[in-house]
Amino acid sequence: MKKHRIFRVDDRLIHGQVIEGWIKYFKLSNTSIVNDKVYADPIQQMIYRSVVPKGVNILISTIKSFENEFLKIKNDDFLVLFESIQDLYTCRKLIDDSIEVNIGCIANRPHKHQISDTVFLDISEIKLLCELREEHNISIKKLPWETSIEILNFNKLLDGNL
Amino acid sequence: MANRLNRFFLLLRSLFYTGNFNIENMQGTGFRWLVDYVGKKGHYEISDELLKKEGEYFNTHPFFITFILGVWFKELNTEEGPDYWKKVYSSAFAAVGDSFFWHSFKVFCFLIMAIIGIYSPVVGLIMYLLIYNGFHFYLLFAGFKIGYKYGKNLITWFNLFRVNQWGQIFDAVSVFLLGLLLSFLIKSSGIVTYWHYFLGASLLLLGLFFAKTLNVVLAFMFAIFGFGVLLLLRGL
Amino acid sequence: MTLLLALLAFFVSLDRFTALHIMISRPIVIATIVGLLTSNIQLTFYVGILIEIFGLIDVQVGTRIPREDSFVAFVMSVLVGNGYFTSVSKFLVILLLLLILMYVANMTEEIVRKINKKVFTKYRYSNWPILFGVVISGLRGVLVYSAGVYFCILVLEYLGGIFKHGNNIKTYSIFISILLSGYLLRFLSFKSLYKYIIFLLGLFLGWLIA
Repeated sequence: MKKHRIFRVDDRLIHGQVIEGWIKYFKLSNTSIVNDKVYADPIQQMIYRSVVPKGVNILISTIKSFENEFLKIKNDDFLVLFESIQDLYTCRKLIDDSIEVNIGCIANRPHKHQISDTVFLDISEIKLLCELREEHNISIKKLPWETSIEILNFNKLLDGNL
Repeated sequence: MANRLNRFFLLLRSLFYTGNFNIENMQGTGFRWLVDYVGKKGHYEISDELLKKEGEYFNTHPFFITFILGVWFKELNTEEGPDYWKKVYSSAFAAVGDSFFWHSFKVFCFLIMAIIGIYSPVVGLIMYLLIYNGFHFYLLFAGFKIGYKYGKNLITWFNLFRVNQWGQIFDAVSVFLLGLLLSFLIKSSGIVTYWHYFLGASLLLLGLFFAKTLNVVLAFMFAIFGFGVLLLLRGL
Repeated sequence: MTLLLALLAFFVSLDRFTALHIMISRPIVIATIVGLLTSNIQLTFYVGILIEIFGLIDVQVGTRIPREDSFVAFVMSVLVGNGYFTSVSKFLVILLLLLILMYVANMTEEIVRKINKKVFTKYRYSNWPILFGVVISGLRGVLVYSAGVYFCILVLEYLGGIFKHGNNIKTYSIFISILLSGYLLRFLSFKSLYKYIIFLLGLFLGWLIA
């Protein structure tokens, strides 16, 4: 059976779409939150551990320590959650061809531009995505059974059309 | 704020707070509306600036909204501030709510209604609405008080009831009830021939086989076509 | 009767996407209420079961608009309840048509969300967009659901003397429900082996006591 290995940027981290759409749909046995704030906060950790369905292993790590932690789940199926494009960019060395990279939701904040109905990015994030896109396929995808929006090239946008 | 009457009115309002649901701020408008209401009733000091900020992006499962409000007011004057916990709990409750209420509890209540409804649809209907909304309204009514009592530690209250296991437990019961329902349906319609049993079993197996590969709408359409052809050829 | 059905359509649409969430928008609930109103509850109930099972295999998460099973249930129940189906073949044709129209109904909800967004952007710090959203969502239900009913009646009139095979709508509904039950069984999250054992146990016990 095909193993689903997913890196996902979603600023809500674990929420309905992640549980229903990804973890339950693909019957994933590992999920990981890569976030310094969550790692440093025992209550937040407890909250996320409490809402993940029983039987799903949850790993919470800092961005820095994720490289080592990743070895534990590397050969299994997994969903790794990042809060921002910057966090994903920092961990870009870990991405290989077997990993699907997608963006779920990045909420609207001041100085952000609407990319899709759920993704709003600022210029620095678009630049990082452009760089990541050169080596990896990245798409905007809310749910596994929905059509994904391919992020082909933002360079035109960066050339003054923003 | 915590008196029963105010909590009852909060329950009523919380049934409508998603009125302006849109893809930009999701339920943000409604959240600000509820914060404003509780703030005025409870004589909390909330600056206009903070109140305006509450209209920004917010989304959770609607049945847990009063819990989040309780936490928000409890954490209002703390160092981390209320919005930090609002964000954490809104995601967490969206996960619990979507996976339990939308996925599991809805199926469970339907099966209860369908089984009872074969004998009396009206009793089935009453049971469905009572069971589902009994739980729903209890959460909305008690949520603020519990959220306010526990504040950022609210998850410890939910952990008392092993919240992440609810879905699986109800799904297991639903699996049993689904079996029960199919037997009741077949018997209630007076289906007696081996041809019918063979057809029923084949359809169930086909459904199981195609569930993960063929979209359910397409499967439904194919089934309609198939039964149309069957109808023309020999009927049921 | 028309007024009561319009009122029901208002609250169903509201309950489904915008407010309340008290489950009056579930197909089986709609079918039973319409059955009560039209005094044909025994038949609408089984049609409700069929559309409910179909609708359950879909979860409302985040910004995603789930399939408009309430629309299908409302139109089918009104037509079944008022005795518009004189044959199974007509029932199947309309059901197929509604599965296609369901996507149009979904698009109308998308429009409502876009209107809500515009109202929010214009009146960012006001509370009245909530009331506006409630009213517009309810009106969407009245318009879309009644348009669905009238369109299907027109189609049925057009079909006239053709498609007149079969007369047991209940049996056909049950058999299609059985097929979709396979989907529902896979949809329920539980360890596979135990799941099928428990299911067979339910099936067997149901057989004994029914």
